[in-house]
Amino acid sequence: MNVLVVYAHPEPESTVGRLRNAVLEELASLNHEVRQHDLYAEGFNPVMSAFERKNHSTSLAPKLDLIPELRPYVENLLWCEALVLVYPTWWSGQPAIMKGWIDRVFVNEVAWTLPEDANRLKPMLTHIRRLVVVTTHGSSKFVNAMEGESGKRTVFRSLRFMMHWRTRCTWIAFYGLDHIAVEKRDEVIARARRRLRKAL
Amino acid sequence: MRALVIYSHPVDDSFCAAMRDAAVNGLTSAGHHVDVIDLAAENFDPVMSRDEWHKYLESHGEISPSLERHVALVKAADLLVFAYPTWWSGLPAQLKGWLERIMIENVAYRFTKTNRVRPALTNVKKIYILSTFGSPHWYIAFIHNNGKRILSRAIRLSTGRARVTSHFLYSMDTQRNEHRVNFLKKITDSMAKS
Repeated sequence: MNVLVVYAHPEPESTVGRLRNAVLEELASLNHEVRQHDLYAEGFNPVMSAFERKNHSTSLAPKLDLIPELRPYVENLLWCEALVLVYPTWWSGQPAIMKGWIDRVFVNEVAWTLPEDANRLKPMLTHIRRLVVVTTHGSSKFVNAMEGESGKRTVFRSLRFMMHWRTRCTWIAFYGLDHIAVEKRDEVIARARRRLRKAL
Repeated sequence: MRALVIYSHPVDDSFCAAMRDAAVNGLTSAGHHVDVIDLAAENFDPVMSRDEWHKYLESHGEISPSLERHVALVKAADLLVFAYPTWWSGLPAQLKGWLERIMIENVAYRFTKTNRVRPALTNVKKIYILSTFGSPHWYIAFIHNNGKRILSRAIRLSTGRARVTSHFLYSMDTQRNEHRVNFLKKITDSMAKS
């Protein structure tokens, strides 16, 4: 399976960084074709420009000629059959750098189109059949449930509806990490590996 | 009272800018002192860097010099007003990053001696959420209004018990002009009563 891993964390040595390494190792051992975007390492700019906003629904090809930095992100999203997002949950959602990847890459003719005679978007990411999120929360499951888990809904509802209708979603999330000492997080990594093996 | 308007949209003459101006007019007519942060015009960098992340973990609320002005405005505000377009059911990255970088320890929350989290934004009495959506209301209800949730739940928890008022305009692209004008008037009226 073609798997695209999108990873966002400023510190490679962090728990999320270790989770990313574990994800890549597991995918390699399962013989998947893997591509990765490390948004911090690539210096991805998450801010949508005025030009991009104004050309939000114009066709893709001329836009990519003018903004070549988006081309690899678009190509890899169109290539993958499984999408794995690895990020820390900050203020109950994706870090800005990953939200910006969503804002800027999930555009017309990539994630959706609006046919002339229709008044509803047509999903374009129907080649994606597996959607996996690996994420960490500093606060407890209770606090996050109270806050409404915005990030989870952004991915599993808003983005997911642009994909195949039978796309299988897997939520590999860890809560209350503020209260687990850094040395005691090996179990977290091991659990993520087990869950991921079943997810794809 | 002091009101802080946080506006996030890349295009100067967007409808969100009109929303921001409607809010500012209403707040001024209510006699408030109004500050506006225009994230796109200020070229605000929403990405928390590696250094800043370490500082966040280790220094307990030390503020980077480039963020001091925004933090001072937030700490002085009685009203917070957010004006933004909803993209993929959430906040634009620039606004999301602003929250991540500004709402840190001793600004949004503090720890007690026994290491429990307590709100620190207790100066904020009211939060206003102004946003536009391309999708109709039923669709947003189905996928959830995740941008609003971050502000009306996570950020609100940090204020203690601020009141939240939202004004949303759905199906932006197909709205008739008079609806949009009425919507702006509703914002001004609501702010004038604040």
